[in-house]
Amino acid sequence: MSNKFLIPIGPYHPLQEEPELFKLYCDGEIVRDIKWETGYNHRGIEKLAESKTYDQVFFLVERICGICSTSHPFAFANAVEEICRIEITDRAKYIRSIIGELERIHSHLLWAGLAGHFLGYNTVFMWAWKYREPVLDLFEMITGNRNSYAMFKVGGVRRDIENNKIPDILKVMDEVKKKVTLLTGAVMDDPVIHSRTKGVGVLTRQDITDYGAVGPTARASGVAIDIRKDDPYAAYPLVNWKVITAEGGDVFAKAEVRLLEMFESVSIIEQCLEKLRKEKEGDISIKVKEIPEGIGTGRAEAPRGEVFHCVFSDGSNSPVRHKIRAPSYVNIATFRKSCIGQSISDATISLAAVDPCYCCTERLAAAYDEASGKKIFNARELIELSVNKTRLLREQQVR
Amino acid sequence: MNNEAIIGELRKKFGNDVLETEEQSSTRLTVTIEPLALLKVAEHLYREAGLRFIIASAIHTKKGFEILYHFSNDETGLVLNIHVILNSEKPRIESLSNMFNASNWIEREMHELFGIDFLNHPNQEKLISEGNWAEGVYPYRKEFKK
Amino acid sequence: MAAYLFYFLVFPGLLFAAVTGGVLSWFDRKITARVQFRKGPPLLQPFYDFFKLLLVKETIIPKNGSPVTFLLAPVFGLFGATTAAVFILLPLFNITTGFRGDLLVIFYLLTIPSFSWILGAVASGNPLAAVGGSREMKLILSYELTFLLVIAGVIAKSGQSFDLYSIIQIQKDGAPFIGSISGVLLFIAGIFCIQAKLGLVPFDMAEAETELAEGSFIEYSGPPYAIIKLTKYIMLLILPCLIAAMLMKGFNLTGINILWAVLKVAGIVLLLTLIRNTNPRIRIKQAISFFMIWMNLIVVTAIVLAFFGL
Repeated sequence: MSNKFLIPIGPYHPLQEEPELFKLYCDGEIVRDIKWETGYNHRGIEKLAESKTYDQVFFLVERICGICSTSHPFAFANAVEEICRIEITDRAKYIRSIIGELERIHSHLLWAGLAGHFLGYNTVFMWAWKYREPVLDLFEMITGNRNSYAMFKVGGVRRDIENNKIPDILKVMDEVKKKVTLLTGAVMDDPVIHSRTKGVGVLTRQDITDYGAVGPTARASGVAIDIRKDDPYAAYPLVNWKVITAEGGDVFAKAEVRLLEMFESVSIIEQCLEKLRKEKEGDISIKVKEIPEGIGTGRAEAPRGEVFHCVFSDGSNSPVRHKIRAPSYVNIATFRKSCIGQSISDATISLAAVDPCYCCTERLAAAYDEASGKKIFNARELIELSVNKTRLLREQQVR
Repeated sequence: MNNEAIIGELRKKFGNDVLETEEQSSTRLTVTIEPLALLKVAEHLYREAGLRFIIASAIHTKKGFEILYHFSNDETGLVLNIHVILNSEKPRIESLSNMFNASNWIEREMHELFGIDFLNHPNQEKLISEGNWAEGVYPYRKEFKK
Repeated sequence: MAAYLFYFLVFPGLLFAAVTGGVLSWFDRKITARVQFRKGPPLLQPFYDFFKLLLVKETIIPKNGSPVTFLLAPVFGLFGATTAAVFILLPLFNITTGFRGDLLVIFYLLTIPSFSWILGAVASGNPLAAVGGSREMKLILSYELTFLLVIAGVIAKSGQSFDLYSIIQIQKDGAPFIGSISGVLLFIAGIFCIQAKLGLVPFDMAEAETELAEGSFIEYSGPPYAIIKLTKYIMLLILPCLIAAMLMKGFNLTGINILWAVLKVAGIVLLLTLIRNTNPRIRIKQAISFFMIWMNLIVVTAIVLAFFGL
């Protein structure tokens, strides 16, 4: 019986709303071979970066991924600051770390919801995304945007977190912690979830080193790679936290690592905020006159793993070559190990378990009135609405 | 192990194949090697020193095609860049994908964008633009005035 | 003849079952929404869905399939479900006709929708639908035996009467079957069987939105899909009604008792909704062993207990 037939997942993913095509060659329910086609969303960002100035590149790399939109500027900042050999102020370091960890929380919650949806468990999907909402509101309060925060620049950050906002952030963090505890309990103690995820999509230590997988995918197989610890940057060496690992290497272990990591993130944020109080307000960036010639390699631990940026500078105001490696680039490749030989149901959740990175989310341009067909908001008015909402949110939270 | 010790070891092991070394900082090191020695060096780094292959970055310069193979030591936080320069007429180099799978996709991508040939690559197809890009046109190549 | 046509098309057949089923479907969606912190659809949403598909949307026929089978399959399914609805609801509303509500006939009629959907899926020529169809087939093989045993259990409890009229009557004279241990066990197994029959999570692997993109139904659009939706509404009404008739002494349609009748059905649907919202989808293998081993064990225990009068 070698009568293989093809099950396509994509080119428009039924769940992830992302252009990618997995071709599963199946024999009955069993996946025998798998192929991946990509490039539907190739935007040539590496090439674009060569025509932008260093300040503009921050906004460009932020748009690589709509979910981990701070990890790319983070790594890029590390790379450029390495070329310049500068040390940023402590306050800027704390702010950077806070943004990075907030993003980790929202990204992991988003993944938990999607994993639930993949398993047909829509209640987890909705709950996780509801609990993610306060984190996004917090982002809006701190940075002015729910996504693509535009916080980073060479030599520091663009906006300060004023000290009078700190108690409010701490309050939200308390709330988030409670909700995450609830969610963790619900997921970790459910016997049906155990039976669906344990022993599924197993990656061994050998697979991890072979494919060079990083982040939660590696940590779930007991390989403790975490750039925040291994190659410390920003405020991570200044606070206490530990790297979460698990041993199973299966989907459950990956979920466990991500859920427990959120608690570490909350703890990092709380410590950073406490230390932020002691730093002088407004001391958030140093002036960088020029960027010398050289090669800079910057790394940052995104929610999905190590983001790597390599910048070649020739002393002009834009990079000669900018190499970007997102964590999913190596993590997705592991599907050959985790999916072949499994049933279709297990293969889909194994594909989702590495948390493949989403491309940019599209934004609404105009809204139309249903009855008359007239345009009721144009883009400018929508932006205005959104700005007003941000203002309102800030006022409510900072009384 | 600090940078000097690493350089010392590489020089001892590979002798004249190590052409040049440059230290950017305490955790960043670039070592230029002879392209023909790449397989030996990578084998040593991956199997004996236990380094993780991160990615490779290629760049087209006046000297030819330069590739930086980035290796990471996750215990010390070191990023070791193995730098090779290929001639711009007929760029070709040994593929690392038979040693570890991590380099499989990036070599396909470099083949597609720069036209660098990777010898003995298990499956050197296009990665990004399969079926919708002209053969022999490499978008990331640059033109230099002679 | 006119009376029979009325029974089939209006009450308690097609029209009544479809409208009530639509309302139940709204109830299911509303409860789901409330569980998930959402607002939920308006009452008429299931009917908007149906009429939009029926009147507005075009029908796309797959190129590689067999169009006749593909288009007729949903009609067969609707026919089976409507006939089953008539045969279940007539005894339940105490309308006397020549038919006495033979349980085995009802059992066979209830399998028609699933089988016709499998036919339609295979006829569409889509690989995803083929996987969906094969999953549905495996699922049927696993749960139908359990369902048959549940019916056998009810028959055993009622002292070998095969028709719904007598089964309801026996319960009305005595106590409802669910009041005993064996009745409770039969009820549990019965709930899981209809959960699988309705294709709700955790047994929705044939549709599996996130794996197979609606599986069996992937190629359906427009009016044929509207008919499938209608069939689903009807099934959502009659399966809980069947459980209510077999184990909860049916309905008594006088005065305040109508409220109890509505509450019985709504209660069962609520139970189904809660099960579907607190579980992930399981693998097809797990579903087979769940029914083949555990559920059959429960039902056989129930039948043994029923013989001892418990």
